[in-house]
This record gives sequence, C-alpha cells and structure tokens, in this order.
Amino acid sequence: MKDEMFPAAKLRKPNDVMRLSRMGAMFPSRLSFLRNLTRRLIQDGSTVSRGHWEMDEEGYGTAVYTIKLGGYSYSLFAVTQALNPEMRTDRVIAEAWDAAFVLYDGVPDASEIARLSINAPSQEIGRFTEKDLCLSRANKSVRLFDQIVTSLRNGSDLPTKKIHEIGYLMRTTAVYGNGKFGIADRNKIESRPGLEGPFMAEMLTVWLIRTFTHDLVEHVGGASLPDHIKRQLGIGNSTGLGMAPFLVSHPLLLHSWMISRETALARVRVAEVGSKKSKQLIDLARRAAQHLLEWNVPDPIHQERIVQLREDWSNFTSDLTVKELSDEGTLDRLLVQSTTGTEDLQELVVSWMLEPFGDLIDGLTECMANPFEPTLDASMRCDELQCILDEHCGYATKVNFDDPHSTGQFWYVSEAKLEPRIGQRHSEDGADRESPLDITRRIHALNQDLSGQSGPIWQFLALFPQHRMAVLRVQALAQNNYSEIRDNLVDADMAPIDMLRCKLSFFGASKFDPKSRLWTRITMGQGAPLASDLATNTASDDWWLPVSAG
Amino acid sequence: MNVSSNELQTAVLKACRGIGLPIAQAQDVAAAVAARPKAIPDFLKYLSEPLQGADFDFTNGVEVKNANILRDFAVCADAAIFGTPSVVIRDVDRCELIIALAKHRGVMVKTKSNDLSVSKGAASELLFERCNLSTKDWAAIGQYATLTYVPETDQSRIDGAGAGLTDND
Repeated sequence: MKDEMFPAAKLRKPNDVMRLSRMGAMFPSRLSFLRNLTRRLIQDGSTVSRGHWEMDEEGYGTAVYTIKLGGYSYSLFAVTQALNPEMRTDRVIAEAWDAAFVLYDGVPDASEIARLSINAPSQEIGRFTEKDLCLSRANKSVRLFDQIVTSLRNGSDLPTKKIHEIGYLMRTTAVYGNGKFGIADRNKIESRPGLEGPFMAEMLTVWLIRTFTHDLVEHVGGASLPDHIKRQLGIGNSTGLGMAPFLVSHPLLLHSWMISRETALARVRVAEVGSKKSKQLIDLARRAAQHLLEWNVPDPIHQERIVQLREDWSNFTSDLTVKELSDEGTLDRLLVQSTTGTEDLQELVVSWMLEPFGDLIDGLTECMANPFEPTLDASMRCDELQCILDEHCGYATKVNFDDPHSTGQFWYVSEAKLEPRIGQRHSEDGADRESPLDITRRIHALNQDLSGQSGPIWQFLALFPQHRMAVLRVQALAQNNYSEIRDNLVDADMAPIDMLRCKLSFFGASKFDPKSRLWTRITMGQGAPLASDLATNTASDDWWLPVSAG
Repeated sequence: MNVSSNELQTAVLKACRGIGLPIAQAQDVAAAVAARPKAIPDFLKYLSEPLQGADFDFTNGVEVKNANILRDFAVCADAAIFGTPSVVIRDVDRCELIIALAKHRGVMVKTKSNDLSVSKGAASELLFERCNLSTKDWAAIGQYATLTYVPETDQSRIDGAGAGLTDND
C-alpha cells in the first residue's frame, strides 16, 4: 500500500473490523466501485451514444448504447419482452425477465445483435462468446414504471415521493462476469484503462442499464423526464446467496478492499481538516440524516436499526461546528467517540469521514484489485505455523465445534440451479456435499492436528492433506490481516445477509432492504451522474447517500 | 465447444471436489488444467481412480507409494521447492496432466524406470485462455461436478435461497 506518502493513524484491528456484525453494518463510501467508475467516466470525458433503438410502443424490442472509456468502445445490448406477472421473480430460479443485457466489447453489428437477441433472454442456458463481457437481466418495478408512464402520457404530476422511495425503474437480479456461460474471462479486460479495478465492467453494465431504463420509460410514456428526476432513478438489485461465497473464496482480494478502506480511514483521522472540509462534513452529516429519514424498509428488525441510527446520528452530529471540526485531532476523537455507539453508527461515521477527502484517499482505489491467490510457504515449520495460529486465529481456535450450534448450518450448491444455498446440518440432507466455506472450522481442525507436530509444514501436509487449505489461509492471514471473515460461517446464528451487505457496500449500494437473512434488495447509482451530464461536462462526483431532490 | 478459461477452471475444480479431493489440491489441479487444457484426457483418467491413502517415506528425501497424483503432487512439489534432494513418486508415468501440474507449481518432472522424480525448477508464465473442448470431455467433467450438487426439495427451495416466489411491485 502507498502508506508512506501520507501521515496515518493506526489501522483498526482486524479482529474488530472483520466481524460479520460489523461487515453487515457497512455503508457505501467514495471508494465504492460505482463511485470510482463514475469518477473515471468524468475524468475520461466519456460519452454515451445510442446507436440502435428498435422498440415498439409498449417498449419491447432491442437497443444498443455505446460508451468510450480508456480508448476502447463498450456497448450495452438490451432486449425487452412482455412478461407474465406470474413469471416475474427475483429468484435465481426465474426463467424469464422483463429485460436482458449484455455488455459487449466494441459495437455489435446486425448479425451480433441477432445473436444477442436470441441468447441474452436465455441467460444461464444461453451461450456467449469472448465479445460478451457481462451478462445481466432485470425486472421492472412495475408499479413505479407504470405510474411514471401514466404521468408522462397524461402530462400529470410525477410521483416524485415514490420515485425517491423506490429509487429505480428496474432491478437487476444477476450481473455475471469473468467467463460465466462462455463470456470473456476477466483477464481479457483487467488491464484496460478504466476497467482495472474490481467489478468495473459490472459497474459499467449497471450504470448503462440505468441509462436504458430512463430512455425506456420516456419512450413508453411519450415524453421526457426532467434530469433531476432521472438522477433520482438509480438501478435496483436483488441479491441472494450467490454473491456471498465470493468473499470467502477470494481472501486476498477481500484484504485489498478492506485494507484500502482502513488505510483511507487512518489517513483521514489525522488529516488537516480546514474550514472548507469542515463545512462539507456538516453538510454531509445533514445529508446523511435526511437519507436515514428517507430510508424505510418493511423488515421490522432492520427498520428498528434504522430508527435507532437516526437517533444516534442526530446525537452524534447535532452539536458539531465548523470550528470544532477544524481543530486538530477532532476527527480522530470523533471516531473513538463513535465506538461507544452501535456498529451501524460507527460504520456510518467511517463513510462520512472519508467523503470530503478524495485528494487523500481516492488513489487507494488503485490498490483494490488483487489477482493473486494465497501460495504455500512450504519452508515454514510447524511451530512457526502454530505461532501464527496463536497470534491471529483465536477467533477460530476458541470455538467449541463439539456444540451442535456451532455447526448448525452448511453451505451447498443446489443441483437445480447450480447456485449456493444454506442448509440446516442437523435436520437436512446434503452436508456430505458441503461447500468449503467453513474456513473457521477448518482452521480449528488444523490447530488440533498441528498440536505436537514438528518439522516442515510440507511433511505435515503429506500426512494431513485435508489441512492444506487451512494452512494456506493461515499463512496468508499473517501477511494479509483483513483476508478472513473472523466469524464462524456455519454457526446456527450466522446471517449471510451480513456478507451481502459488506460486498454490496463496496459496490456502492445503498438503501439496503433485507427481505430475510438470505437476500436483500438495494439501490445503486441513485443520484449518480447521467449520460447527459457527461455529455455536457456537468457531471458531479457528489452523490454519497442519495436524498430526495426536494 | 468453446469455453472460457474460468469456466474450465471452475468445472475442473468441481469435478475434483466431486471425487472428494481436498479443496486446496482441487484448486491447484483446476488452475493447472485451465492453463494446459490438453491435459484434460489425462485428468479424466486420474479422476476415475480411487482416492486411497498414499504411503510417504521421508527417510531419504521423499518417496511416495500409492500416490494419487491429483492429491499428492502438491506436497511433492512443496518438498522439491523446499529443496529436498530426492522426491520420487513410485509407479507414475509422466503425462500431460503431470506436466501441467509441474508447470503450475514451477517444478521439473522426469520419469525413470516407471518412477517420477520431482525437482526444483524455474517458474514459467501460465497462459489462461479460452479453449475448444469436445462435448464428450466437457460432459465427463460435468458428471463428476454433479457429485458436489445437492438435490433440492420443495422446502430447500423456500428455506435455502430466500426471495419471494413472485416479485411484482
């Protein structure tokens, strides 16, 4: 990490940061990937053109949008169809969607449009080529879409309150990248300017889908939406367990994301604030308060958390003054003060503090990609590994796995849809085919078998080949302290929704709307620049935590 | 059938898991095969072999009998990289899969009298590219991969994945 150039406080401890409950309280920040992408689009002077639009009056047909970024052209192919409401489900078991999309490398000609028109609506059972970079699909928020269409057709008032509350016209239910179903491998694009960062192609896809949804509702409604309304319309997403294993199976990437954010925080804690940034922090605190007021969800437990956070945030920020914030050490003191509050409060404080300090921290986004996997240090001796276990892995070695509660759940892949699911170990079949996400349990087992062993670790692994993964992960953890979720992912009380929120916050999601412990809806890009903002050089990076236009 | 490198790697990983290979060794094999798809016929041959326990003897370096290459090559490569002077796997012929595994780990392999010796080598750049596979090979890999999937029940569809049955809002 490029730490040396900036003064920085100590990093927060991995044992505190990498807990599921805290990961499940994270908020989007200026380091989030969609923010990073839109900054890049602004810097690059990217513009969007719509080279193909064949839609009937009801909005069914095909469209192609092309954007230039970093010297390359990328196109979003979109195809829409009439969908029986009974078929409209956000679940991965769905077989049809209102719209399907492909991010295409270059500009598709007529034959490629014909190919994509056939394959894109089929999604997982379609077949794709190296020219196809991402694959996605989306369903309408039918009531909002129809209400806006009606307003546009009648010239009546737009449902502005509902527009802000819902925040999107369509929500994606999957965005596939990296070779899935035959699309291009990530290594094809990972060094291209603008797409080097994690999930940049996927972020470009969803940002372009958002543009398409605006055009679609205007087309069907027969009139234009004001730009300030369009900015309020982001793109929704419905996310389930399919996303969760990624954080476990990419430990070094997780470390890179986390340490970038923690390094950013460490820099900001000791940064000179000054009156301009102090004023900005106060404005942002007010914006966050409004955002919290406008963020309401049906789930009673999460709504209770939001209500509590509103109160905590008000208490935390209401007396802040420009003078106080400008004083040396104030941000550090505030961060320490926040630790007496809930993790929701603490994580909101982190995202808030980072926001005005782009000059100090935006460069850290360059450190968030990490193509490496843990490699074994075969020369390490068993006693050295034991020291690492003792120093870093208490969260795993101290769990009582004899307690059935500690192994109450298991992860598996369903035969029907080849997607991750969660089972109840002590009451359901299938645990014999468990997916290896039980890292904590594996580290615990390694610790038990390592006891009393000596010699090089490779000899130990010859006798205990089942521990190779745990050894790799423990060795990696010693060098990459934020690489592991420091909780038991098979505990009966483990809630996958915490993993989802962590990952989605890095994407830039807000307005988390959990529907259960297993899936959530979110909003992406609400308040983000429009394609027309890029065209007129009026795009702004100031869209942390969306609030209604008023 | 033209497949992406990541598709192949994922399918090989699942196939290895399907026969009960530990996850880290499965990851090694998957990366090795994805970087050298012509190893697939050998890979399929080894997949069909039982995963019996190997006999390791560390008296004079490393000598392995009854090795399962998919599982035990990793630790032999570890030993060679560590600098162990003699690493020998008994009754194993050099083949495309072993070359793939050796390249992946940056070790050299030689066959002498039906035994395979593994020694320290230079790391070489691995290329992960799309490839064309026969539908027969692809299906065979997929058959082993299915051994990792859990058949669903009505209850698991509801409890295990979340989300509503319809989402009209």
